[in-house]
Amino acid sequence: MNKNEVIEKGLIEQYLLGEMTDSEKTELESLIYSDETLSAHLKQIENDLENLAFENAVTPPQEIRQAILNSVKTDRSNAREVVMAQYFSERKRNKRTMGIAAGFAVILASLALIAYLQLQETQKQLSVLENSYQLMESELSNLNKNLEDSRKTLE
Amino acid sequence: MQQDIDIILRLQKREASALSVLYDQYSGALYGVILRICRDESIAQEVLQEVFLKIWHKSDQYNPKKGKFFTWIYQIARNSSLNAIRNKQDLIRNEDLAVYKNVEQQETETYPELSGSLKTLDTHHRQAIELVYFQGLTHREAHEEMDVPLGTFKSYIRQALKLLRNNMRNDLVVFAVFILELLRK
Repeated sequence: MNKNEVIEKGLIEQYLLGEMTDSEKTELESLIYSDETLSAHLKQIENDLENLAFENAVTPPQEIRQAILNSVKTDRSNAREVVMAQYFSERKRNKRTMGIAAGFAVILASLALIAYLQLQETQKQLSVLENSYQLMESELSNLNKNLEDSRKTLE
Repeated sequence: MQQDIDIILRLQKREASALSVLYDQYSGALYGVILRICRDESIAQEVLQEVFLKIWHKSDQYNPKKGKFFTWIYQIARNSSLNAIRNKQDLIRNEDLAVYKNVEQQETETYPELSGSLKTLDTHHRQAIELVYFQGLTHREAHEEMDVPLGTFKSYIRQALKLLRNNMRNDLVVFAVFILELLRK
């Protein structure tokens, strides 16, 4: 499809009147965006059609305006209610999540405390063992010394 | 133009005051189209409400790069009107002939005559525009209605738009001359 075909076949008019399928629209749009003449042609026809509608305008009954604005207000207050409900359910969900997280934290803290106490106990036992070892070492050294003295006396 | 963009941005942010401004600006032009497609005042009024609620709910779908705001809302109005008359026709098919006659009578009563520069066109040009723009027919349906080849019908549309554009330009020139004359006095 080229520029002249688009203009001569009245494709822009059909596009603006909403007569095209989605794939036809996409194809034509890519042509229009890449061609300044077609873009200008589209704008011109858009203006022509808008002018036509304004020249043939009919004032609708006054009550329709209010009915539309009322519907929108109702819709907005319903939307606000939905948003509030979502906020509260989110808060509830957050609270539950926080509760679960706090539970986990307590369990972890308890495990850490138990591990700490066990470490302290082990360190204490190790220190006792170290003392006993030193004591035994000094006793062994005394025994060796006595043994040496006895040997010297015998000689 | 910038003002229009600002209002549309406010509409997209869901500000009801923006919808109110757009209603004041476009409701007459849209109602003129809707009423001529539906040919029934009570249906046309319902469709007009439906159209503005669609504009409200779907405003985020409007893309200014793809065209004017009016083109977008015209397409919503056209499709909504065609759906409404399709529903009405389904209803008529299920009712008796008496109802059909009443509806037809009502239609001719509530079809407003076209005005403005369209009146200056030849009958075939005017009819071509009327069929596709104010009655919602497709080009294919309209060329059959006028009993001319599709290519001829398309050239009618093209010529009609060009003539309308020239008429409008001439009117503007006349208006400008008139204002200049007034200022001179």
